[in-house]
Amino acid sequence: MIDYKLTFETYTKNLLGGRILGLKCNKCSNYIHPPRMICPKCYSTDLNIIEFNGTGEINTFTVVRVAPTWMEDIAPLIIAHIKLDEGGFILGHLSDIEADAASLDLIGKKVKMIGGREVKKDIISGVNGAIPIFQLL
Amino acid sequence: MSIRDVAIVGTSMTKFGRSNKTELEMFAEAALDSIYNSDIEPKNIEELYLGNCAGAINEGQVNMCAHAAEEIGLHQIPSTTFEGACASSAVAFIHAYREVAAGYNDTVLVAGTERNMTLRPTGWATRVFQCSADQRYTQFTGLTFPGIFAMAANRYMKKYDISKEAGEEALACVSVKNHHNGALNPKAHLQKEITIDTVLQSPKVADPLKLYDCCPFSDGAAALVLTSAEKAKKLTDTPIYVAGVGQSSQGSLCTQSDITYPIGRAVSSKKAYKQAKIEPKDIDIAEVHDCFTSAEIIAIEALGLFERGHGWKAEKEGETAVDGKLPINTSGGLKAKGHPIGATGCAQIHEIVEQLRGDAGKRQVNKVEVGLADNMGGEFGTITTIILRR
Ligand SMILES: [Zn+2]
Repeated sequence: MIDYKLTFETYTKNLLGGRILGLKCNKCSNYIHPPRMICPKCYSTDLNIIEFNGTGEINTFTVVRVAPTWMEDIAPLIIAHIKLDEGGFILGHLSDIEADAASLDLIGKKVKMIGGREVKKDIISGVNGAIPIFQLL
Repeated sequence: MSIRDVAIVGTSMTKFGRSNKTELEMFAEAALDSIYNSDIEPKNIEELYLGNCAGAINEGQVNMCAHAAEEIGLHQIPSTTFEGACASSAVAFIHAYREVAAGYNDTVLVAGTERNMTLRPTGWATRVFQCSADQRYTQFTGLTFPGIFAMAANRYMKKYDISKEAGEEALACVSVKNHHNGALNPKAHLQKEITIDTVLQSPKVADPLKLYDCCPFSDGAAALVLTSAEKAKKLTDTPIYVAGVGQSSQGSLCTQSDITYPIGRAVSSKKAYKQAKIEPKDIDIAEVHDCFTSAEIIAIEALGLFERGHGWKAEKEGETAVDGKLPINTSGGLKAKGHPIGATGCAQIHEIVEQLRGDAGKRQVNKVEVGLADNMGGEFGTITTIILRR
């Protein structure tokens, strides 16, 4: 059996340390994020864990005003779907924008991750997680 | 592969809305009604395919399929629960169809049931809906389901250079149209007309979506009986045939490069069109997955029913109305008919069957020969296409 290379546990620990981890395919050089078992392009399982540089471009965004029960305290949440420079996408919060100032102009803007925010004991799974926090470059 | 023709001989749904009944109890009502509508008895049912999504979380009920069968006297038959988030009972339908088409079974029951309007607050329901997104890389960010379709709406507006005002008005048109249809549907959760201003002035949920861009949390069940075409002809003068089916899957939002055109939906629908030997232009009516107003526009484009980048205009210009060029969501859609997650797939099929039989009352569309039901679960994760014909 092939070992699962980049687990959620490892990924989350690193996110809290300010690092976005992903995978690089040794066969076709494809960068993979979020982590997966197999390269989605060439199906190789010969993958290496690498640290992404943490920068990307906003593909789209929203301002979540009605938040899930465990996040109601910190709403509204400005959440972006970001295309990472190496490849793949990530969801993260934008920390330096006011909710009412978020407009379609955000799409295409460059951003950089500045750290991870811990989420303790999710109400359903009991698991800890982390949210990547981004700022405009 | 040689497969035989399969037909729907009876359908039923409970009124959608708030219910004091449990998921099993709502299932039992719709299921028995669909069996009696088919002019058969429970003892004629050989297998049960049940769609349910969050019964384990909301009611603490797993293994619902077994209890469901016993409720309506289907003693010792095989019974299985299918879970594909909001597409649960459409997935159940596809598997039931395949087994009848292949000859493993002759007559089977497909159903879906869900109780979303628990006594718990909106934040809880919002959290439960999140469960169909990737637990590791989507859920922790707090991205809600309205949030996902708000992201799609923003990307769509940017991509096609539509101003925020024009875009939000087009979204509102979807809601106004679906509420109009819902007001004509006695089974709908929300049976009231609204205006564009009702939508634009409602509270913001996830920008640009507002409360009236979102479907309600509903309780309800729907069921239908499938049988071989041969048996169907003996049971009814109006069997409705399954012309083609398709199903596809996709990973988290972070694995998708264009959420304005979910590739999985194109793949699923192409499969169904191919089996039915038709093209999108041959579709007379469609029920599509309008969990949010933006979701309807994205669906009608990815299904090939409207040109990419033109769906928003079609909605604005009334092309999707009951008397329009291609009526979409004549039932009121998820927006007004309501969205009891696990029941939605079967309820969409129920509407198409009523339209094809000419039983849709005030919502009846003229000359309907072919109808399509598009169901979608999660962050474009599970997608189904079911094409029916007279
Ligand atoms: Zn590769």
